[in-house]
Amino acid sequence: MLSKRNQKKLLLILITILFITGFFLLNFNFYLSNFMISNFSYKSDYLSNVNNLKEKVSDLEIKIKIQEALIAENKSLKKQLNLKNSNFKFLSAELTVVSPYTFASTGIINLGLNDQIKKGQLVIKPEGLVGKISVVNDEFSEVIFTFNPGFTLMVFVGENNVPGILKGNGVSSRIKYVTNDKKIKIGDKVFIGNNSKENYPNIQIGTISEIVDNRGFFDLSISDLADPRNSKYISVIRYD
Amino acid sequence: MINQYSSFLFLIFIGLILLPIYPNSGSLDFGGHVDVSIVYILILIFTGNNKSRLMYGSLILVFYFLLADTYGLIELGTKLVVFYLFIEYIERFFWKNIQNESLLILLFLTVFYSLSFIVYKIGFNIGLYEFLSFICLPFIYNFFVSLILLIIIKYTSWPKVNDQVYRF
Repeated sequence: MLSKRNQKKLLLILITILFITGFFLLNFNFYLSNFMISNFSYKSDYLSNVNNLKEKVSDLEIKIKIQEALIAENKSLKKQLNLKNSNFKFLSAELTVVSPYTFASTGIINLGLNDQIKKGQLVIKPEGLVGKISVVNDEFSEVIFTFNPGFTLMVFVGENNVPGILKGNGVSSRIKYVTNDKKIKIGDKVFIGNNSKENYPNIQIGTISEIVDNRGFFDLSISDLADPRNSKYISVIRYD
Repeated sequence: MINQYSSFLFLIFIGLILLPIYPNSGSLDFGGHVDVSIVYILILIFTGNNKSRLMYGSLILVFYFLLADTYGLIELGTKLVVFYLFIEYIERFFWKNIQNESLLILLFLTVFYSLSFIVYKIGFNIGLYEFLSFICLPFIYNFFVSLILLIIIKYTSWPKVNDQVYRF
């Protein structure tokens, strides 16, 4: 006669065996089909590669068509705006080093004089303006971020092109030196001043998000400035 | 001698781990919000004070300053002031307790950011709201990263058991 302890052990073993068998039986179809496919199916790697390449070619053809349409649209818009000799180049760069300082942060990119990078050129990423080039070496350059106190940029605000200076203050970047008699409202567009050394046209870099009247001058906050601290890939705008 | 050498190597090792000057390097890089120099200084402060640690701390601060521009001098000065203030403070009190040390980390960060706010308010006329929104994430990340590293380094080491001498 089995003791109670042994009976319990047997019961536990039985339950475990039942569970495992049930699991395999329920998934038998899967294991079988997997085994059959992996071992007995007709192997046609080169055919599948050809099919993949065909798919890629068709995708690329579609993309080329879209690009052609965009180029045509761009040309017509340029004609409408009377933009001449506009030759933008977005040079992709890697932000290889970022100084770990909280307030006066700068970064180093892997483009330099050899890539025709010049001091003062703007640096952007899809989320917005990152900063501008401050020091250029042969193979690398230093970027000062928009919130760096050393960052300054001439800008125009709104439809009347009110001039101001976008200046970093250590924690954010604000537009300064705009007298409070100018008509500026929240949502006004901010463009880069076209009298810069780099001779940029009026590129929009953001919109006004806050207006503070401070001793006869407006202190304007701007939205759409990118946080550069978590950036890896950025673009330098070159305008020839 | 061996202890000093191993602690030096250990510090170099930690320094390499905590060196997220390479964006998205994955080495404790929480979206670029961790100020490595602060974390390093906090660990140096809480793992004991001596001249070599003071030197390491100062060297680390100067090293990171080399990667910033001239405006980084303001932050370097603020950090050095808070660093030496806390070394003086720690020497007078005995804080070998995780709860007290976490409070001290909070205090360090609060003093550092408050001092920075005062300096930047005077120098660049920044607003409190924009300052708070800027330092919110760095404050949280610096606190937790420092605390986690402190627990790993100081409170989860091998137990120090004295050798027992038997007489037969």
